[in-house]
Amino acid sequence: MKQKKIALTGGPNSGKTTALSVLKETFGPRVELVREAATMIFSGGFPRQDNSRAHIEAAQKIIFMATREMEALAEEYSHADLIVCDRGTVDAAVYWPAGVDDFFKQMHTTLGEELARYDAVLHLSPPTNPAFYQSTNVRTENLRQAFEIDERILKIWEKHPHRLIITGKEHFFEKAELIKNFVDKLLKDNL
Amino acid sequence: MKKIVLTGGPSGGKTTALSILKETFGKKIALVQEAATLIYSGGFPRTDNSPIHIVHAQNIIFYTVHQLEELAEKTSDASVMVCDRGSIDGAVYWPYGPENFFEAMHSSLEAELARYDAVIHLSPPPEKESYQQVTNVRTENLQQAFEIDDKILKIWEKHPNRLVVPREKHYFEKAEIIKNFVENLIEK
Repeated sequence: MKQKKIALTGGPNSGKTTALSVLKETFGPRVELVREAATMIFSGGFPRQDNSRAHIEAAQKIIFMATREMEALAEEYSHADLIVCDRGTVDAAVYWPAGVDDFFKQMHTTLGEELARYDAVLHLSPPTNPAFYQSTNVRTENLRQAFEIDERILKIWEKHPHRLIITGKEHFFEKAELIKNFVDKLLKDNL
Repeated sequence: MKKIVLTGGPSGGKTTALSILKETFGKKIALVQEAATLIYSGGFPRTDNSPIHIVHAQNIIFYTVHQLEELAEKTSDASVMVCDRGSIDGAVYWPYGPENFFEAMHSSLEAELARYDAVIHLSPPPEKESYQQVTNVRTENLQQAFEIDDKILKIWEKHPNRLVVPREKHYFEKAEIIKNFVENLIEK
């Protein structure tokens, strides 16, 4: 069986981290999780300061590189059937000050090449009801910004041939069910 | 901007020295935080510290060191940059030896040494009581700390401007030596 890789992405506070925990609980050793590089870098203390252009560029370069390294680590080390990545290499492009095209040029790659890294994409949007919006230590966006980022992420992954989009309207249990079924099917197709 | 790297084995007092330098010289210096601490305290999956884990961690650390130094060069007006460890240090942890490390990084020891105008080496204290093992990130015991320190001493030995702080001195004396060294560099 060939190991498959999916990217779990979407705007801030869309329930990605919770979805990952649910997948781990459901599929156990059959899935290997790859943690989000951006959270690692920022919670590790990357100097965000005033979020100047130079700071954002340095951070996104490190995030892009660390995403690749941690995916490679999971691929080399784990025997799981499925690798589930908390966001993918493509996501950094959304935050790049000089735009998406410039990002891939600077990283010496292309959007097509980066999309091809993943067998499937799961997109989770933030909840439309503001009462469900949670702030964390690492998160700096408000709800409106969260939706703007979500739009950009939706757009950048749109050419991926195998994507499931889960909107912010569903309750989390429904979302979790959709995700579980999607992953279940991927694992079965893989037999 | 001049660039100094502060390095040495675990628990040598590097972080304390950096705080003292910042207190002493204020805006004249810019500090660059340690990339390894950033990656590991951020939650890089160490798991069993297998060679595969170490290789990927060190790849990220090497890249991050370069990016953080470049960022300080671009955004700071300080006359001296003080880096908490340098790009070369990763070679000491690389499972396949320093030569393989620089090859894997598409660089050379010489190119990396040339990144820094000066090197300050702080060793772990010789007395066992002074060894502080209690950080979340540190996994070495005292003996391992000395082994790593020796490797770091060796890998930087070709640098033309290195201060090796005598390990038997008390910390105040060490701090004084470091302060004078940095002062001298700022004034030059």
